[in-house]
Amino acid sequence: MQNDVLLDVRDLHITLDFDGEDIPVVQGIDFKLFAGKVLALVGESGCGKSLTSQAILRLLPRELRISSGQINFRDPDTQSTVDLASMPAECKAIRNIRGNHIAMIFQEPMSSFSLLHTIGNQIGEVIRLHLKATKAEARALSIDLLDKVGIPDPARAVDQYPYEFSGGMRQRGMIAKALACNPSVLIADEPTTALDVTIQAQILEIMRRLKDDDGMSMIFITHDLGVVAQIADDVAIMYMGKIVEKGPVGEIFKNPQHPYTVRLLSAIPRLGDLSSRRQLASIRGSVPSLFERPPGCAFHPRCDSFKPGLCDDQFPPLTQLSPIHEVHCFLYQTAGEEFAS
Amino acid sequence: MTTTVQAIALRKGRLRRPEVATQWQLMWWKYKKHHMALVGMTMLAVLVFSAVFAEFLSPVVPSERNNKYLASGPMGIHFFDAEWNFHPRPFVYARTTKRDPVTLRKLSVIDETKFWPIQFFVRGSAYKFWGLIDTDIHLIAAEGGFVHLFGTDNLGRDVFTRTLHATRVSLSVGLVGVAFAFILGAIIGGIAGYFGGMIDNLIMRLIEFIRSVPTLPLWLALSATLPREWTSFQVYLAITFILALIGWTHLARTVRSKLLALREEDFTLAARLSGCTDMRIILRHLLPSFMSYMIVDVTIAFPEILLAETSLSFLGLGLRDPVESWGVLLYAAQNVRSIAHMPWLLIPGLFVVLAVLAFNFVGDGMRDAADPYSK
Amino acid sequence: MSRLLKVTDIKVDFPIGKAGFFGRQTAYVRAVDGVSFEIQRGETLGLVGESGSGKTTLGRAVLRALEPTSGQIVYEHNGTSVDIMGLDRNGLRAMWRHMQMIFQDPYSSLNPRMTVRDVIGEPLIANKMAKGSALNDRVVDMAQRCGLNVDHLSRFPHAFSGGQRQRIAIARALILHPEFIVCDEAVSALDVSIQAQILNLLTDLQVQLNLTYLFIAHDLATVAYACDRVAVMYLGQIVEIAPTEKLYYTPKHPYTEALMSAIPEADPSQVMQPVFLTGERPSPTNPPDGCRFNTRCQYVTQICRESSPALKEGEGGHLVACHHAGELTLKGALEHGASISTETRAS
Repeated sequence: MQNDVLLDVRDLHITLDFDGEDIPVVQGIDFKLFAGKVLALVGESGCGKSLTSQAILRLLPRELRISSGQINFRDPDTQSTVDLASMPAECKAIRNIRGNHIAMIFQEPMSSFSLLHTIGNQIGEVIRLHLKATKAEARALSIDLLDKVGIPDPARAVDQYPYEFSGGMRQRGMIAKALACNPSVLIADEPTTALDVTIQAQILEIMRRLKDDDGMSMIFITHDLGVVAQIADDVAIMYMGKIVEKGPVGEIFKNPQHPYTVRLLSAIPRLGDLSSRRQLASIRGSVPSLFERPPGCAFHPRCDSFKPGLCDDQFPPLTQLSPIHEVHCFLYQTAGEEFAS
Repeated sequence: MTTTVQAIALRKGRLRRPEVATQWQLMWWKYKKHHMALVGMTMLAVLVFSAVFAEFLSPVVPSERNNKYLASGPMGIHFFDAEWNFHPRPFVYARTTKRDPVTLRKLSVIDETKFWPIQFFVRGSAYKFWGLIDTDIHLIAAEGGFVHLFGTDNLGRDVFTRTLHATRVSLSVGLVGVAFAFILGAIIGGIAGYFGGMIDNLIMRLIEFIRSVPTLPLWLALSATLPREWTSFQVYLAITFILALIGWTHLARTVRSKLLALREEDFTLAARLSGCTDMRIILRHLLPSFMSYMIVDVTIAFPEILLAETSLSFLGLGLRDPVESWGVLLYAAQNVRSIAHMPWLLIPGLFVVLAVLAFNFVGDGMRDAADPYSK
Repeated sequence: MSRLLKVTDIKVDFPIGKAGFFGRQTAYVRAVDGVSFEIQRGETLGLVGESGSGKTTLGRAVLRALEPTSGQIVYEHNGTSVDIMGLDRNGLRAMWRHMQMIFQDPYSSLNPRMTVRDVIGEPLIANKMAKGSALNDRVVDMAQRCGLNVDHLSRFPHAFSGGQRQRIAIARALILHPEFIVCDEAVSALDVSIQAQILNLLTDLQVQLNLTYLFIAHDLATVAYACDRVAVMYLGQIVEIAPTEKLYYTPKHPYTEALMSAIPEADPSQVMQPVFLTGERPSPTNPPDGCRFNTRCQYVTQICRESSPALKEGEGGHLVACHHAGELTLKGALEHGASISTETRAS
């Protein structure tokens, strides 16, 4: 693994065990997380983006499992690469990484905190667990962390309970907890979806500072393309368990190639042309159920560029449009070949 | 919960054509997954069957006394004799009576040389099926003798027969009691839940008061007030009503809390905006929503009422001769001497256990199936 | 355009905390505090605000689906003015044939135990307006207008996706041919691509059926698309109402400015520079004296702390509630970004 790659996911497959039947949920995705960069996993409901992040930390629900693939992680302690997918889900090595080297923040700050313990207690728990600190040391560090995420009067806040905080403050608390052990990777699963827009702006600012000032690497999961444009460096667009397009954020937004990406970008309202009040471009149909996956490219029933016999037969192989821009679509089969040669 | 996990949960309950499944079909599919619940259901089915066909399934009538087999234990049905020969037709060993030289009591002694083969669909003692149809066909009888599967009491009455007949009484007491409780609970709980406010407050305090009174002394007091001259049927109804009077509170609370919650749901408001009257909202929208929960409550209430009646009758304060439930049968087994000499008299107690267990299993399954739309 | 609805000084109080022994309430939170506005026939008025602004409560109060504590609602119907607050239960139920609501959650707004046909047809049955095959015809017609197939009608809601369920909800709301619809976050719970579908459907239906919408939402970009005019609420009051472009490009209230600056623009070359509001949003149980926004406003002066500004009309139908309305130069939605080269953000 290259030196600046922290996480290298290769051909990851997540399968659902439904009453003895194996149903694919995530089918062979690849992506790399580079040091100090934010990778956005973007997709609508049911694409598997949240499950992918849970898989990295081996937190998949009981019926789901990683059926094949690698999750290579550069362990900062040993500087060697471990494959997180190859170990048992609850082994010591994984538990040592969770919360310590790879931390996660969730969408619902209310349900992610225990209501019975103070914020300081909960942040301190992580610190004492991984860093073997004393209670006093943990408390001091907790206060520092709360201050870092912009919670006012942190010395008092550390002894308060989560229900005493507003939604935005709780989300900051969750970020503080995630940062407690100075992880190399932060996974943020829809962290701002449940927040008001002004609070979202504040949280995004905190995350931007983490990235720019502290060099934090992040996997940012969201369905909001506006947020992606503001925070991400690289984007991977997911649809029904596969990555359909991947590239730097500027390239993807300026030059989207996959039909799904194109339609998705035209479906969001833009503030720049309110006067035109054009009809929003929508995508016909809806995301099929997991149990009724269309053959070949799962997007083909909703695609205007559908080629019968081709798109419904097999999933398009990777086309490298440029060294940094990848797409999986038969439209570019020839284009990619030209580039490769 | 991610969308994928939600989709899985929703799918789990359905197997075929889920789009057109009604809520009852969804519930049944979810119920079927619960193995203990299916076992419970089978047990219940057996008990109900025995209750309905009690007279037919019994070899004799309950009051019939067998002087040749007094206070004697269960007679086993065998396929193999003492020399391990196989007989395709089951049989019981013959019994002869002897007098004990010391106590001068009649004893029944097994004679392993003589067999009484079991006959099926025999004509035996006459009875009225459910008090309506005159007939005399019994399922089993012993050719040339008698068969007492659960033994006899000291008057020679067949315990098996009496237990089966008691099944009918006990289960029907439970049924009627639950029906009373259901109606009372649904109405009172419904009023409390739908109107809220002061009415709800008063009803809740009343329920709390009733629940805080210890049940056993309350039952004893109420049943002791029943006049001795009342016919056994009147006593029967009175007892079930008394039991229901205590049992309705649990159901009322469930109905009330469900109504309070459902009142706030969007679809209730949508129904109001669509122009539905209150009555239509209750009947068409709210009631079906918690019908399943009420059914669960009923399956829980049933064993409570069953046990209550059994306890009362066991103490001699419930049903009386000739209306005999399991509890009344157990009343006869009250003293230590009986238990020591005639332990088979406690078999009705085993039936009580089986019935309560069956209802509990079924209730468990129903509780899980009750809301097929949740995970 | 003629006026359809006029709302005057609506207040909605909710009881909170413990009731006295006999159920008497002692504490209230005022979710909506003196809101007045008009809606013109055929327009789409947007209502935006963050959590605690009272927009959902206001939406329900306007239909009297929720009882306002005080205020006036006048609805122009067939040439006469109807005083909604003065109606009895039957009168109100009759008026609801003309005013309907579409809810946010497509999963809880449909009775899961009724078929789609029953759900859509219920208003007709409840109002005794159609029966048998006539009912079925009307249901089929409306369902098809909303993009549903005939074979969908015998299925149950759990068989459908969020977008389709919202179509069912729309069909139900429109079956009585109402004039006025309150869309309470009608697209917020849907995927992005489906939101666009449903928004397009709502716009088409508005033209086909002569509808007027009150569009409540928290996503400012969506509101900009869907609405002719937009009202901004903060802590139970309307702070600004203006035609969409004026509101977004030239806001006149500091809160609106802060909102506009916080919209994440889907353009990586425009890094947003939000106006960060100081402090926390005050609790609705204890609103600040004077202008409610004064604790967080960067332009606050003494008068703001003392007296509450009224909603005053400026030019071109632009109403603002701010003491400094004319003096401030505020940035609009497009002026908050800073262009950066996307090269610096490539990996």
